[in-house]
Amino acid sequence: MTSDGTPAVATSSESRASGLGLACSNLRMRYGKTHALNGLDLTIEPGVAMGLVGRNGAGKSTLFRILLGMEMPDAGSVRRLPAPIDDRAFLSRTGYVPDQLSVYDWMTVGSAIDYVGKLQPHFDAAWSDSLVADLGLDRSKKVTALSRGMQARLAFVLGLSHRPELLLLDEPLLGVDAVSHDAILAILARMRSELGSAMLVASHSLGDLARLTDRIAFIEGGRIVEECATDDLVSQTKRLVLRPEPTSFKPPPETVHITHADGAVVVTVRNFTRDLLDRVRLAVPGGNVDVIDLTIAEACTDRMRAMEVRA
Amino acid sequence: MITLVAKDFRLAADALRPLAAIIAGLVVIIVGLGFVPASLAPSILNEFDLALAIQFVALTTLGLSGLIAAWVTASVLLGDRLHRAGAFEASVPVSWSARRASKGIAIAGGWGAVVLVGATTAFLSHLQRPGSAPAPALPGIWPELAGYIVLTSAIGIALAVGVSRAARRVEIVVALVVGIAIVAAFVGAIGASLGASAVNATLVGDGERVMADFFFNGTDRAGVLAHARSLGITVAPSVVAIILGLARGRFAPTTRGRSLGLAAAALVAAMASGAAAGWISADGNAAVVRGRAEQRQLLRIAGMSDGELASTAAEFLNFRQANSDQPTENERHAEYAFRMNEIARRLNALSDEAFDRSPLAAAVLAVARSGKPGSDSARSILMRWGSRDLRLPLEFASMPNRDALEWGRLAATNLFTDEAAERTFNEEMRSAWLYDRAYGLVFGQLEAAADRGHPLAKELRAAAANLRRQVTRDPSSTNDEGNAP
Repeated sequence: MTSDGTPAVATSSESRASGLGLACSNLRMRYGKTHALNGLDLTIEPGVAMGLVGRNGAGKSTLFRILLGMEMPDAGSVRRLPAPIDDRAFLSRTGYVPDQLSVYDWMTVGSAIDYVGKLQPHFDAAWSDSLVADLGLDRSKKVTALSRGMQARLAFVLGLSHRPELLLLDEPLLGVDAVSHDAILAILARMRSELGSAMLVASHSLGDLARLTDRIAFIEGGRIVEECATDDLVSQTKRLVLRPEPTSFKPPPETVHITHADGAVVVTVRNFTRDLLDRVRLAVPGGNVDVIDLTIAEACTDRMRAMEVRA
Repeated sequence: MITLVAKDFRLAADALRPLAAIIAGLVVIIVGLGFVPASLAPSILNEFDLALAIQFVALTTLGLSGLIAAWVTASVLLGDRLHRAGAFEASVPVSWSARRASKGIAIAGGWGAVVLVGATTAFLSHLQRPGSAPAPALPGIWPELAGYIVLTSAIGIALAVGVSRAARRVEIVVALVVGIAIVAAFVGAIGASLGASAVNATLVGDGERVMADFFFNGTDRAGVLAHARSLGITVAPSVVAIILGLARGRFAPTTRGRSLGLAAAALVAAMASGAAAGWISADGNAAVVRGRAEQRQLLRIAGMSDGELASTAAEFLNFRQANSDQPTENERHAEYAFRMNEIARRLNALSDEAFDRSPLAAAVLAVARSGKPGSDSARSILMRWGSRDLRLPLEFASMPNRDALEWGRLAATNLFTDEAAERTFNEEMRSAWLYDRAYGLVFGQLEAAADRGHPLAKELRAAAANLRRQVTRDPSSTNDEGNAP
């Protein structure tokens, strides 16, 4: 155990130096008339944690299924980084945590873990046991008797027990209580720092993404519409309040979202600079322009609102 | 690999479990029936044959094997996703060749299990219990069993869908309806059986169950039950559909408890309606209708007073063929026959003292004396309780009538206390083709009894003397068949 109470991550020299990543190119996938993926390009470099933000139905889960090899895309390709490896090797170094626990309904917590242990060449029993203990799971309990939060915790154990170099996390913290939530985040952060694991995390919990990820990609209509560093997303996204509302206002190219409220124009911009502020002030002679810092949640939400408007 | 194969066998078990349940149930029933003591067994079990029953299991397995094999294949191939473990399975690093091999082994194993069960039961069906005749070959009775195999297959389908965890929503509803229909069909048969059995369950008299033998032998009962099953199958799902449809619309159950309650209510209603349909269908069968009518007739006669029955005897003595059709005549004759049986039942139940004081006995004896002693009707009346009163046969045997020998024989028969001696007497009577020999046997018995000091010695000698006179008159005559009568 570490000083903060999370289990210590056992390290392995095998393949850790190079790490594992993915590069998706022009992925297309259609279900009937619905385009789940529509020319998606996304690269997750080894050791990089990528957040994936998008509205429901944007194509996130389809992307995960294709990355795992559960489905074949209609077009496009997925390359494993830094060098091509076969499916079995890829899966032995990849951990997948789905949004809903996927495990045979006749199993218990213990038998599910044992099943993975027998099939995963890199399974670490001690590490797995520590995860079970720290996440408060009862090995004798049937999986069908687990609550939503307990199922999420078991999914983490099953996905992480072989100390993967690449983590694919699809809404992993749904239904998890606050204590377990923090414990899981701490485990993931430690895996990042000690193992250098890469991650692709799809989550509507934007605060978690701020803590976990290096970069964030916004997905809309089956495509990545914007990608940026998580730090830049917070530091360079600002909300400008123009008061009084100008009679004519041409939004700058950096505009993410614009609304009208209480006799003012509220403009959310990306890549905020002093120059951008000066240009906006020129548009409202005699008026005020207030600059408001945003949290990551607010920054992401304004982008998603803009997506909604475009949709 | 072993882990994968074990998992895939577990998927195959989704399909094998219902088969195992069916066969286990049949085996339990068969073994259970095989050990029922003969004294407790219903008459149908007298023809029960263990080998035939096992053959039935073998045939059931055979009938289901295609379905089960297909089900095994589907369960193994699609089971990962149907058990909602597709993502779980896809995330573990196993090569496609290993996956294919594992599923192939599980499918082959599942098929093998079906074949093994079929082969085992087929082998067992050739075993024979000591002392029992070989079971009839199934191909010969295949048409009769085909319906049952179809029914068993339907049970298998319902069970398989119902038991399988992979089944969801619509399939479960379908399985529920099919299952209830099958249950109701059996209940319908039970209802019909009860309806039919009720006819012969309350017979008056000494408890003889003549109706079952008379009306429900062979295919007639089978026809009643088959009809009831059809009705049960038709009625029960309709009731379920109506009740579930109306109740869901009216109550819109939102909790599991209420849904289960609703399903239970529908099940009970289906079973009740199936049984009712069976009962009603039994009433629609001509044999059952006839049986019920006779039962009502017997119960009516049983409720008649002694006075009414005494007048019946008088009417019976003067019974004449009416100018009516044959069925009506048969009914008239059956009415008198049942009434005379009831008179006999009542008089035979009396002690000697009660018989002497009985107005019914006195009335019937008076009726008998009032008619011609040689008439069939008079003899018929007295023959029904001939052992009750020796004096009346002796009275007729002492009279110069052409039936005196028959009355004497009746009296002589009543004198025996030893069954072997009586049997010897009767055999000698049958083989005595000359009247003189027959007469001799009879008056010899009567005189011997008088010599032993019988209380009716005087009457016995009078009858014997009358018979001697008759044989002296025509010593060489024979009856129409060349034998003594």
